[in-house]
Amino acid sequence: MAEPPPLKEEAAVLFRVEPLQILLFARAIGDENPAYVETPALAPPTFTQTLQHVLPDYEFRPRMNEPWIGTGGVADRSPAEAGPTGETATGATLHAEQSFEYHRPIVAGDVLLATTRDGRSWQKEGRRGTMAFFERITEFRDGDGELVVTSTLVGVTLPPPGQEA
Amino acid sequence: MATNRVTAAEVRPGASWSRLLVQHLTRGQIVQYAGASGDFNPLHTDEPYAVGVAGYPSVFAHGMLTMALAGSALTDLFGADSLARFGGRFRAQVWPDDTLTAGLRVEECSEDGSSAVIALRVVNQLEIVVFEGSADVRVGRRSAV
Repeated sequence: MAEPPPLKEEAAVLFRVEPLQILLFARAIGDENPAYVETPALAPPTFTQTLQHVLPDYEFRPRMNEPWIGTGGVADRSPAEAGPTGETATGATLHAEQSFEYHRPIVAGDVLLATTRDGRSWQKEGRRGTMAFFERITEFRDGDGELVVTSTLVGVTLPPPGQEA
Repeated sequence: MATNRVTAAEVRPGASWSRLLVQHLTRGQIVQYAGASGDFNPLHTDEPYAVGVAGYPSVFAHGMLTMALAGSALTDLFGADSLARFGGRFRAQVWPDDTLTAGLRVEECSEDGSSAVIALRVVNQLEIVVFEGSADVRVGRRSAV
């Protein structure tokens, strides 16, 4: 049966909102709204995703001279060696849903504390077997402890192939 | 952008808009989003991995890139500081060369017209829904850009 990946309760991570990071993010989404380059710059609606740069153990950040799940590197998983189903042996986890609640806009210069915790979890029967859904809730609070943004991710872990219910 | 903003009078139940989000999405833009967001998952950034290891036809875009593009359609219409809530479901993958269009529709308005619920749907060039969601927006914010 598919299990959601374990989450360790993370200590609060400091999320400094930098004007250059807002500019880079706005460019990456092709958004030329002047609000993102004014002083102080506003942050686009999904900007808190850049927390991924700050999380100390973020799994999808390549680290020089350490094993990486992509090709190349010190533990190369070249296509020839891994084979066509290499990645799906344990079942894949996908980003199924995402929502944000905005308590006030984020602006450059904000220094926020981000804390992630587990939310609800539930299961659903699919064609391939049991799908395990889980919520990860990240709260961004300002220096007064006031909520600024609440981000809720819903992930789904699919059963490994070949284990149909 | 500021010139595309709707007026408060235009925000009525049933009013709808269509916005082109991206034409022929490039692998370059997917990589640019990876760099900006910090999500370097090789399914999005490493074609030999996406094809040869994971078994996909190519790399594909981050779901959050599609959601960010949809968010731009909302801020384009209602202002950069107009959102109170924004959420949705990733329905299908977005591939290089895809063209995405957002349809936005006013589901309901508050009595005083100061807020509205917007339903949002993003389709690709084959009319396949790739993202579907909704947002609560504040209407007619004077400070909005």
